[in-house]
Amino acid sequence: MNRKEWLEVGKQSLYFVMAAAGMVLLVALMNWLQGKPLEAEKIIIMLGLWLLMFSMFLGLSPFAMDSKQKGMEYLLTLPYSRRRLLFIKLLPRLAAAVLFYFMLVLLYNIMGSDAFAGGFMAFSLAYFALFLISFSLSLVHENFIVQSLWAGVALCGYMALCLFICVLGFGWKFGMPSSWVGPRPWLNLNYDVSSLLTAIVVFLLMAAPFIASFFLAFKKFDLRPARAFNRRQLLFFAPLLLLAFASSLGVAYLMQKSSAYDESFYYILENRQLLKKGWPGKLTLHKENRQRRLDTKRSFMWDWNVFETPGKLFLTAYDVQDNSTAVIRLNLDDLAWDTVRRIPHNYLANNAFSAFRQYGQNLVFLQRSREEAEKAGMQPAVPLKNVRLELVVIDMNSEKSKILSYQIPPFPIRYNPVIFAHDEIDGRQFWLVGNQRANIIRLWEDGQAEVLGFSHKMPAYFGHLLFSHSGKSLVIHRLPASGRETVKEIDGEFQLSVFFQSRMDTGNAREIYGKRDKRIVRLDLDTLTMDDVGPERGQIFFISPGDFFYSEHEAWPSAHGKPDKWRKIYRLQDGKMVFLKQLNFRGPDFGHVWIDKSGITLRENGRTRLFAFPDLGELKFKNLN
Amino acid sequence: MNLSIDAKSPLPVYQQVIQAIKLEVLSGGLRDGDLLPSIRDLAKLLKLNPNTVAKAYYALEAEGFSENRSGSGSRVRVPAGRQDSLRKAMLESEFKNFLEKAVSLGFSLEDIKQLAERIKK
Amino acid sequence: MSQPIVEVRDLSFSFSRKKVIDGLSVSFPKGEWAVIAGRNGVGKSTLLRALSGVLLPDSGKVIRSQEAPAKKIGFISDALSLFEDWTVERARAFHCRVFAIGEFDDRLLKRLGLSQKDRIKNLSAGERAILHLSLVLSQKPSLLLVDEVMHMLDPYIRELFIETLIEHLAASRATVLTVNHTFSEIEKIPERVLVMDDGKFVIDETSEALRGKMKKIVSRDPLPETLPCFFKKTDGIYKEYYIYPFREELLADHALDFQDIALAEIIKAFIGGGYEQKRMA
Repeated sequence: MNRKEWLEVGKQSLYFVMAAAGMVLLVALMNWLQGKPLEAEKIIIMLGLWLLMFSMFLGLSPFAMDSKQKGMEYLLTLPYSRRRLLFIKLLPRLAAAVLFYFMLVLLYNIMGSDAFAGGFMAFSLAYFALFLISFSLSLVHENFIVQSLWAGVALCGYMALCLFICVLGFGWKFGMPSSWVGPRPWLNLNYDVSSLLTAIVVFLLMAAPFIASFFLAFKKFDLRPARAFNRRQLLFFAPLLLLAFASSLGVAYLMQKSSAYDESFYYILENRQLLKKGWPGKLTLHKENRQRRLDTKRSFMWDWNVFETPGKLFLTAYDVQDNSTAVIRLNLDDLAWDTVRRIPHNYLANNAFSAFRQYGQNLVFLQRSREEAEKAGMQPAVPLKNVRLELVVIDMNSEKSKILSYQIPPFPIRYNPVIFAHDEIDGRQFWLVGNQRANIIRLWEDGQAEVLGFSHKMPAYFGHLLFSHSGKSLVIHRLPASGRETVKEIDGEFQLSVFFQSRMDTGNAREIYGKRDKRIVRLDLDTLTMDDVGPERGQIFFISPGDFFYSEHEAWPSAHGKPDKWRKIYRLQDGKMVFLKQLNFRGPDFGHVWIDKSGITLRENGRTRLFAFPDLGELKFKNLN
Repeated sequence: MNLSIDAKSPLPVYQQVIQAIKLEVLSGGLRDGDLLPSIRDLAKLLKLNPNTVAKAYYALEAEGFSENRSGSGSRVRVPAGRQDSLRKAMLESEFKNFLEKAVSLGFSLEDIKQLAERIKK
Repeated sequence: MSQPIVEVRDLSFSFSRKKVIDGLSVSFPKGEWAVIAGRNGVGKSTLLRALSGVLLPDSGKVIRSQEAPAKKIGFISDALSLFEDWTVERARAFHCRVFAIGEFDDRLLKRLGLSQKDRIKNLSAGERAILHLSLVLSQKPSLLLVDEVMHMLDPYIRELFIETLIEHLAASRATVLTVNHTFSEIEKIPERVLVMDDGKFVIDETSEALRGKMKKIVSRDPLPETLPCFFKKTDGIYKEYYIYPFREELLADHALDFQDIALAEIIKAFIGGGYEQKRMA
């Protein structure tokens, strides 16, 4: 009987392949007629969906032909045990499913597209799950449409349940409300080993009740109406499902690491201590041989901000429990901490990372006025179309805040206003607010708001000079008591990477580095002359108050799917690249390099290494990894 | 060969087969030395269970009316002298049936004798 | 006495909450030909299916001896189920492969003029029955289960069918169980008769014994009360009375004409009696 089954599956597969080939040819033809290059992504996604349908069809098919041919009774007279019969049916279909899966993987790699991105693992799991679930439902009804409806519903329920279990386990382990965990773990499956393994185990455990109940019920399968068989299968299924649920919940709890959320921040402090931000709400301060831990016992999700002032640190975090952003002061000596300011989430004009800036001993951020915050509701992502906003300045020494209120012309829909400069003229303070493809607005301390023109890309304020983009050039201005004066305009595609650095004290900078037309260039801030420094093969970092660094990548632009084997770190100074250090990556994982004021953090395969400026010697801390 | 088995008769079928074969022998349809049909063929012909035919053949052989030699099947044997006593036995059996019938119709022995005379003429 | 070829112990079987077979026990020795009779829908086909393994019992067991493994059980169901789109050739090849059959005797098929290329769905009922028989007999089964197919066959094919069964039985010591409605052609064949009613066997006798136990009286007059009348047909002027169980003493007591009847009529009387009892219950 094996031959019959393989032939049947072979025939069905042939139809499937022909239909798939037809679809691909159709797309290729359309592309060719339109003069476009072959849309690899579209094809892969189309094939993926088609393959999903085929997997369901394969799963539902074992008895379809036999039933249609009225051969079910004959089938049962054949000298096979019920279990053997089921295996004979399963094997060729499983083989076909696996074969076509690998063909898709091959095609996916050959065509070089990134159609699924992080979702490929989720697709693969769904594909095999759909096959197994469909197979276990293949006797639920004679009508194929009804069967496929059941299979679709079961698959949705199954995937939702798996996700729920992963989320529940994760939230349970880390004290995080599940609603907030969301589908995030699944988007990280390609990169995060513990999430992937957990997902696979959960998938298998949760798929097992379907198949097991089917095999168990099939032992007593005969020609009686489907209803009796279904009832029997359900009786096996329900307790098995509960068992699978409990065990996979346990797995999700035990196996998942916080790596999905472990944007665990390492920050080298000026005193060469290491601040490690874990979550929820945990901090560790490492000295060479010892560490001190702080558990705030609140579900703080730390942001990337660390503001240093003598003896104290100011950190910002998203408080999951009350949906607000907290500004937290931490004493370096006794680790006493306090929430200096609590900002409900709908008040913040944009996400915390870009909202907070430091100048001198002050912190500053923008928030909506109360009426407008209430109008915007609980969605901080709703852009600030309204025109009343408030500037809040926190003195880090006294921890007191001052609020200034402004009326500004509306900002474009997609971009929120971001503070990027602070300065003063004739004793009057002002702050600059802008974004790409938006107006630059000067906010005076007396409450006046002044529009200073438009910038196509993100503007910058450096060495008392304002840099804006005209669309084909970089324009440099000086800011007198009102308005702006253009001092110089330089043609080219510029990219200045200084917009998002958190310290705005750039008054003493003598030079600025950026990218123009794939080259690294240097602008002297005294003479306003531009020099070429070298080819652009990586990223430029600016560390306040005036140091520029360049991280050269092995592959630039980065090759998809292939992490770098090395990075080279240079200092950009006086128009020259000064080689500092080469970092070598050992694993298959993407390495993360983070450069900030005090040094470089390198994360690779879950290990963290730290190098401090100026010599980039490695700092060793006990119990770090 | 003309063998008939009465489905209604309470006589066991294999007995009827034995009777029928004996009758056939007596009437000359089967002679000494003739091959009896195989069990299979006779069963197929008469629509009988082969076991039944086998039983009949076995009984025939036990009574001496056939013998199974040389593997080519059973052959009829008409033992000398037996033919006569066989004829007599069969006639007696038929006559008995006839008498029963006549008595049940109300005839006396006298009537029967008279009838026999009349028919003989 | 050797082990029975198949034995049923306390078998129960329900179809949509109705108990079709209720605690039935029976065994069949090697080489026996038994016929299972009963009115329509009483569970005969169900029993046959349970014996073949197509239907699985709710409770109780079907024990098949080692001489009757799955490969050696031949089952011809009244559905005559085969894969409709297949050709005769493919069906034959498949059956031979699955049952590990070396040689296939296609004389019957040739006799009916069936071509290897004919499709199953295009065959008549008779041709299908003969095809099934050929397939099943090529297994050289030690247990042959034949459901009510003979009534579907024309007289020629029916005779062919019966003769083939006889031939097979003569060549082997197979056990044959048939479910029959039409008895006349096979009246003399079965050694054992089982009549089924209410999920059980109400009659289980040898055909010889049964023929001795039931007699018929045709008369215009009503029957004396003392006679055990199992079933009667009183529509016409001449009424038919079926006496069961018949004893020799009854002949002495009554001057009635007790007629011998063949198996077909006996079974008809049992079935009729069954209907009567059901009506009166």
